[in-house]
Amino acid sequence: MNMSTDVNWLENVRSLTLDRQEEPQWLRNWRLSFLDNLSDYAWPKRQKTPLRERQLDQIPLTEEFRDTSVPLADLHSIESPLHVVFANDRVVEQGVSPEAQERGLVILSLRQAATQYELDLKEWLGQIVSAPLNKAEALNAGLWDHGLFIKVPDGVDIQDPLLVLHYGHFDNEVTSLFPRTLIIAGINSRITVIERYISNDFEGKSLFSNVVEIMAKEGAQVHYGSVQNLSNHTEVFVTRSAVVNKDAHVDWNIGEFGGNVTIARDHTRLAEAGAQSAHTMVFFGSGHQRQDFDTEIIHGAPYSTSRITAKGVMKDKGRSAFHGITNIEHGAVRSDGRQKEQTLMLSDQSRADAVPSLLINDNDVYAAHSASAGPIDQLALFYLMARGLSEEEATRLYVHGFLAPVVDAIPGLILRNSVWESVERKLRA
Amino acid sequence: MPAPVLEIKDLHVSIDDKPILKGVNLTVKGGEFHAVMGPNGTGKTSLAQTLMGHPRYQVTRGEVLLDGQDVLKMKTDIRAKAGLFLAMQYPSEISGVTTANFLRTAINARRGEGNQISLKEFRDKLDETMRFLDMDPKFANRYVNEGFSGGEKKRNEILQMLMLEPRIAILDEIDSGLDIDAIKVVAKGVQSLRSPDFGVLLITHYQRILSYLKPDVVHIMIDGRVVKSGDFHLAEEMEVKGYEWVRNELLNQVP
Repeated sequence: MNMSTDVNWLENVRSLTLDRQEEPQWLRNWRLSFLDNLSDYAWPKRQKTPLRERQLDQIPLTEEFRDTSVPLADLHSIESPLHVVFANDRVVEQGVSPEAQERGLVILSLRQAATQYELDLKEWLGQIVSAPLNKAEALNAGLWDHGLFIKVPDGVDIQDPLLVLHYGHFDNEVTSLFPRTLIIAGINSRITVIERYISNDFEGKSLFSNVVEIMAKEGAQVHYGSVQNLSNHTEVFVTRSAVVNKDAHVDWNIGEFGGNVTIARDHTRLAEAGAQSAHTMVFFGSGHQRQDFDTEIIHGAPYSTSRITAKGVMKDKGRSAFHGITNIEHGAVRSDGRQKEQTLMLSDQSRADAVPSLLINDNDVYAAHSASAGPIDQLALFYLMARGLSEEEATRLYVHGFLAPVVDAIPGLILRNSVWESVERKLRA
Repeated sequence: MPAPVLEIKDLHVSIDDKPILKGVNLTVKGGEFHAVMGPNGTGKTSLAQTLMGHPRYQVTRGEVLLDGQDVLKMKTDIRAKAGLFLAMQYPSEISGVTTANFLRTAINARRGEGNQISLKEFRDKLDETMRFLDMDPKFANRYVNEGFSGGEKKRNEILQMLMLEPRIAILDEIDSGLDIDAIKVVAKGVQSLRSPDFGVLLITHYQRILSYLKPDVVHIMIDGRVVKSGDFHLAEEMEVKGYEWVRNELLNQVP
C-alpha cells in the first residue's frame, strides 16, 4: 500500500472517533489509544487462510450512519420479553420485561453505560479480550457505535433468553460495522443471551468486526448463543472472550454460516477453581467462503473443566480450518479438558481441516481430543437413493444426521431452530 | 397398475474396465420368485447393484427394462420410485438419522408432493410391520443401521421393503449370517408380499432360505453368466453336487 493513502486512511479513522463529542472523555481517550497506534496492529495471520490478497485496508469505513429499518420478517422473528434490535450498530428497538427490570437486570447501549456504569466499563471493557489484539479488534475498539451492555446483579436468575438481533444494511456509505457486546454476570447469577447477525446482500466489499466479552463472576452461569448469517460479500472478523471465575460456567453455542472470509478468535479463560466452559460450534461454508476458527480454552486454575465441540460442513468451493486449543497451565491440577472436531465435505473442491491441540503443563490432569474430516459417504448416498430419495434429499438427510448430535444438544429451542434454519438455507444455497 | 415385468437382456457390466457380467439374460414377472445361486465372485452382487444403478458399475452392453421402460437411463432414486427395491448385502450406516425418520422420508419421496403420509398412518403401519417382523419397537428410534448386528441389519432391510411395498425386490444375500429363526422371519416378510404385483430376485449361496421361499425358478450363475435354470429341484441338486458339477458340465459342452 502506498504510504500517503495509509496516512489519509488513519487520519480518517481518527476523525470518525473525534466526532463522538457526546462520549465521556475517558472513553474517547480509550478509543484513541487504539486508533493512534493502529499501524502497530496487524490483521490476523492464519496459516490456512491468508488475508494478504484481500486488501482489507482498502475497504472504506462507514463515515456516516443513516437511519435504516429492519426487515419486518426479521423483526418478527424476535419473540421474547427481553430483546434488543440493532440496525447498523444502533439500537432501534428494545424490550425489557418489568419483572426483569425490577430484579435489576441492566440492558443498555454501551454508550449509555459509559456514563451510567463507568466503573464497570473501566474495569472490564477491553480487559477480557486477551492481548495482543489484531487490527480488526483494534478497529472495533475505536469505532463501535452503540454497543450492548448487559449486567446481571448478584444472585439474579433471568429465565427468559435475551434475544439480540443485529441487522446490517450495507450500501455505498455503510461499508463497515463494529458491533460490541459486554456481559457482566454477577455472583451466582444466571442469564442466556442469543445474538443473531444478519445483513442485506450488498455486492460491494464490506468489513464486519465483532467483539464479545463475558465476565462470569463466582458461581455465575452464562449461556451465550450466536448465529451469523451475514452476506457472502462481507469480510467477517469475530472475537469472543470470557473470563470464568470460581465455580462459574460459560457455555458457548455458535453457528457460523455467512461471510466471505470469516476469521474467528474464541478465547475462554478458566481463571479460578471449578470454572467450566463448553464451547460448541457449528459451521457451514458454501460458494467461495473461507472460514478459519481458533478456539482456545485456557485452564488457569485447578478443577476446571472444558469441552470444545465443532461440527462443520463444506460444499462447493468452501474451505474451513478449525483449530481447537486446550491449554492447561501449570497448577491447574485435576483439570479436565476435551475436544472433538468433525467435518464433512460435500464436494471434491471443498476442503475442511480440523487441528486439535493440547498444551499441557501439569501432570495431574485429564485431556483428550479427536478430530476427523472426510467426504460424504457415496455408498450411504446410494443407499438412501435406492430407497427413493433424490440426491439432494439424500444429501440433506445425511447432513442432518451428521449435525444432529451436536445441534440437537444445543439448549433452547430458539437457538436450535435458528441453527437448523441456517443449515437448511446453506443446503439450498 | 399391471403386474411388473423386469427384463434383463444380454447385460454386460465392468468395474474399472474389468468385465464382470458377460451377457446376463433373465426375466422376472409379478407373482414370480426367482433365485440366483452361484459361487463367490461370479457377479451376483454386481448384477444386483447394477440393477439399482450403483455408480461403480459400468454397463457396456445390453439392456434392462421395467415394464418396457429403460431402467439404465434412470437415476437410482427414479428406479426406486418405479418400484425397484434392493435389499443390500452390506447396508450403510446413517448416523444421526433415525430409522423412522428415514422410512417416512423415503415413503414421502415415493408418494410425492401433496400426497404425504400422515404421521398417524405412518406410525400405525410401522408399528404393525415391526410387530410382524418380531422387532423391538425401540428399533425405530435408533440411527439407521448404526451399531446394528448383522441380523438386525437384514431385518431392517426387510422392514424397509415391507414399508415401501416395491413391485420388484432384489434381495442380495438377505440370508447370509442369519440363524435359522432370523431366516424364518425374513422369509415370512418376503412371503407376506407375495402377490401378482410383486416379483422377487433373490441372490443367495445357500439352499436353506429357498426351502422357506420356494422359488419358481432357480438360476445358476457362473463367470458372469446365467448358465443353467430350472425349478426348485435344481437348488437341491446344487446343494448335493456342488457348483463344480455345473462347471464340469459346462466344460464338457465346449465343442
